[in-house]
Amino acid sequence: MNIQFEENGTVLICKLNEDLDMASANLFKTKVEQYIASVSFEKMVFDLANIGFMDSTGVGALVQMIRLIQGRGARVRLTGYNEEIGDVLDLIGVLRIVGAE
Amino acid sequence: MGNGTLSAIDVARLYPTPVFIYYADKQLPEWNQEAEKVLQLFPGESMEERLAQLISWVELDVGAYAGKMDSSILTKEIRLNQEMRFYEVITSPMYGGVGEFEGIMLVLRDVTALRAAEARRLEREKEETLAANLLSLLAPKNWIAPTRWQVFGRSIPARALGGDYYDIIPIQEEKKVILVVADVMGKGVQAALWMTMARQVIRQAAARYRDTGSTVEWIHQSLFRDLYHAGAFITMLFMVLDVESGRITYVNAGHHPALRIHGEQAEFLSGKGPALGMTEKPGYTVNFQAIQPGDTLLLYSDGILDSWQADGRGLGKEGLAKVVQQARLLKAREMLDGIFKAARAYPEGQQRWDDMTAVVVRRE
Repeated sequence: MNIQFEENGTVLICKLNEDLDMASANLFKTKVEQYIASVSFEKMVFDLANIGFMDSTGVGALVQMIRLIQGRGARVRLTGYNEEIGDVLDLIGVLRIVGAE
Repeated sequence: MGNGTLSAIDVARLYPTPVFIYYADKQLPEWNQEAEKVLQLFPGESMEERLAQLISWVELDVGAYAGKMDSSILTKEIRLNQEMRFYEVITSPMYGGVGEFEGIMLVLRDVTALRAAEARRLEREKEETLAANLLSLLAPKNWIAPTRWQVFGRSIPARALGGDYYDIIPIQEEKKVILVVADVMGKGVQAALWMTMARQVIRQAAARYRDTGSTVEWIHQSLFRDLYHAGAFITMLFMVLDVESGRITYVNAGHHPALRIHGEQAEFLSGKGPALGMTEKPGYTVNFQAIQPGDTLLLYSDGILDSWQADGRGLGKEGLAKVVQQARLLKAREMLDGIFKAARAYPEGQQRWDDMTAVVVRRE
């Protein structure tokens, strides 16, 4: 799973460079969990501009990370997703738990 | 050699796997670098002792190969620290330019990982077959009211087990029929277990049905805590058909909208809400529509839309609407055949595909 992290003040940006699916979901969770364990931030942005596909396991992994981050009192924002992924995130209700900004 | 031809050991040195060359006229063999590592696995003070152990391990009798043309293959195991390693041992006779027997070539191939993968595959297949047999016993029955209604469902998992679920549950002396299509996050045994649990909860909810809103609320309450803590979710379209009036009431929990065909018009029915397990207070909305004589209604899972076609794109909502429209005059069962055929247009196994489920409701 190819992920890049970038810290910008109190914002942590997590850029996914590979489709989030059954094959990559566990590694995605491990990498995010490991990274956020040692940094402090007020907002986390998942940049999905470089991914073209997300299956239900991938959505589940993303939801788990959103809850983990929200549980730490930080906000989450999703950006850059394509129309197809946006439709799925909207349909399942993920955009609703992230909230609009 | 000096004449430009490679000797057997020169060839062996190019091999990425352990190779031993035993000559008919020499006491000691030759071996390549990989073989050196294998020899270290055997106990012994000297290299001769280790070689003797190796010969005994592979049950080698060089002389027995003289005059033979065939290779022999056997699998041997050896304990390395606490771990068992498995090798495929291939023994082949070697003959010189004038057909004289020169010795044998012993090639070892470490198949430990392959065997472990095979064992895991067999175990998974066994588990999935057992569960699939169980689930086939749970498959819902189609429902027909002669000259009035036909309700047919079908589900094809991508693997032996899937996370899709559909149900057709007549209630109130068949005055109403509950229709459900649900898709559990993920695949395989875990998704199938969630699906079985959801089925159980939905069946219990159906047995105590009073109205659509409170029934879905009860399903949500029953599943939410477990789903939430597991980080899982289920998308579900829950619909109740009133057989007499043709009225449908439904709640959409994160699922693709039902498709209604009325005459030549195709319409995806509105109404949406979060998937089960997504949020504690989903605030589901109950929606109402009517199915008129001649209308068709289709409930389906995302596998039907997403399955890749020959052009590398999914069938999509537009493609699905077209298929169902073209098949609108067919019987429900034939329509299902058409939908699944369209959704699986590419060669199986060559492209990514998901569980596929569809329920067709036809009012005659």
